[in-house]
Amino acid sequence: MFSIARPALSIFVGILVIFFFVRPLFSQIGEVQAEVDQYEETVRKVQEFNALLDNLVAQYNALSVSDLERLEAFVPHGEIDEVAALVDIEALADVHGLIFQSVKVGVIGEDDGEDGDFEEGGQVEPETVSPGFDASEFLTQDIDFTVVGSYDRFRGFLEDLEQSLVLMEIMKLSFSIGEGELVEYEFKVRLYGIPADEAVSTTNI
Amino acid sequence: MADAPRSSFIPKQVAQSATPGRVKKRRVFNNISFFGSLFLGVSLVLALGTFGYKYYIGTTLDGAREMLATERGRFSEADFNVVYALNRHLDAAGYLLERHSAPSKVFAALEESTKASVQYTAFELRRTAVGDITITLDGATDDFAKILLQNLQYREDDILMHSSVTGISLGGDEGEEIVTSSGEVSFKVSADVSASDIGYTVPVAAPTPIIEEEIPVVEDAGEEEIPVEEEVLEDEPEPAV
Repeated sequence: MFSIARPALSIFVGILVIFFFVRPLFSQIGEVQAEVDQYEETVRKVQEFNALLDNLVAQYNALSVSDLERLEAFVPHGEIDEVAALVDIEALADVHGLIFQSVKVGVIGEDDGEDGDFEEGGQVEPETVSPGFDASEFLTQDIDFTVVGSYDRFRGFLEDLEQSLVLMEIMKLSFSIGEGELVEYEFKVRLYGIPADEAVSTTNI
Repeated sequence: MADAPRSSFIPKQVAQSATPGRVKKRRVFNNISFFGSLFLGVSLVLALGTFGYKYYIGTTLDGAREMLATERGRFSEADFNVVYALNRHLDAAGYLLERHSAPSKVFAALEESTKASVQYTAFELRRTAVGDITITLDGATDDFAKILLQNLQYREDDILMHSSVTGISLGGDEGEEIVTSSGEVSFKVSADVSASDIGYTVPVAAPTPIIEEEIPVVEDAGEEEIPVEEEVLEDEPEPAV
């Protein structure tokens, strides 16, 4: 009787071990394994992101201070310096022997409704400029002004205005010939800027 | 005396009936005992292995957490913001530069294509939302046929090919509804210019430095005659005059 009880007890203990120790452990291992997989996937993504960031940092470091200053002048961020732009336009007109007059500075971000793109072409769907930044988010400011002078001088002024370091998009240009050689050229130019940066939390990545 | 019969030298056999049952029982018992021990052993080994694997995977998890923390710590939030801002700035500059237009190309096309006999008195240029440009010109000439020829000339130009002539007014005779002061034929030209045709391109050569000429001081500036470049007007008509 005792001899039969021993193997039976062994089997019983084995079953107990499997059911009450091994099985719960397996269940826990499954959960931990899933967590490990998730962490490994996250680490892989973070490593990819870091590689991208490394590349961008390298690009950033390759830019000289003057390049960064030129970039800032081309499209300022935070606010548009319309006074500096006006000084530039006046200097340009002066260089070309044109009289600079009738200046009207618009309100930032508002189209005056008289002319320009929104009235003529209608509002277009904003395009994505950069991740998290649409074209509709550009800061804009319109400046109206008039230059007076000869056609040849106006042509030179126009070409230099197009090549200006500060981006000035000509939205409207009109003139009519009167008596004499001097003509009033009416311009509407648009200045662009990008809004101040919002801090991005890396913990959300 | 008769000897008692001696027993056979062959040993007497054990009773056959009782022995096989015992052996079978012992063998069955041994098998059950072995199986029980084996089962217990396997379950214990399994338990030990599972416990070991759990420990191993726990260590792996800790390692993955540590690696994630290390990777995350490679860049500070400030570094990231600087790079993010620069990337956005560069993208914005590229976007605007790509759409930057050069209206001077319109004037160059007009200068090249306008015939000497056609004069323009007014010009207007407007930029649309998608960066295209519409231009409107008020012109005058002395013959209707010249307008037609002029229009044909524009159609051959890459930039002005989508132009159309409207508002033709024949003047000269009194009593006409539309009469120009000089008896000329007046007309309007309107053209839609694609953004791609007048996109800004970086000049290949450096811009020519502007040499400021000394303008002679004239006592009575009001009567000064401004010289007109006759040769230029003959072959290369100037649209703005």
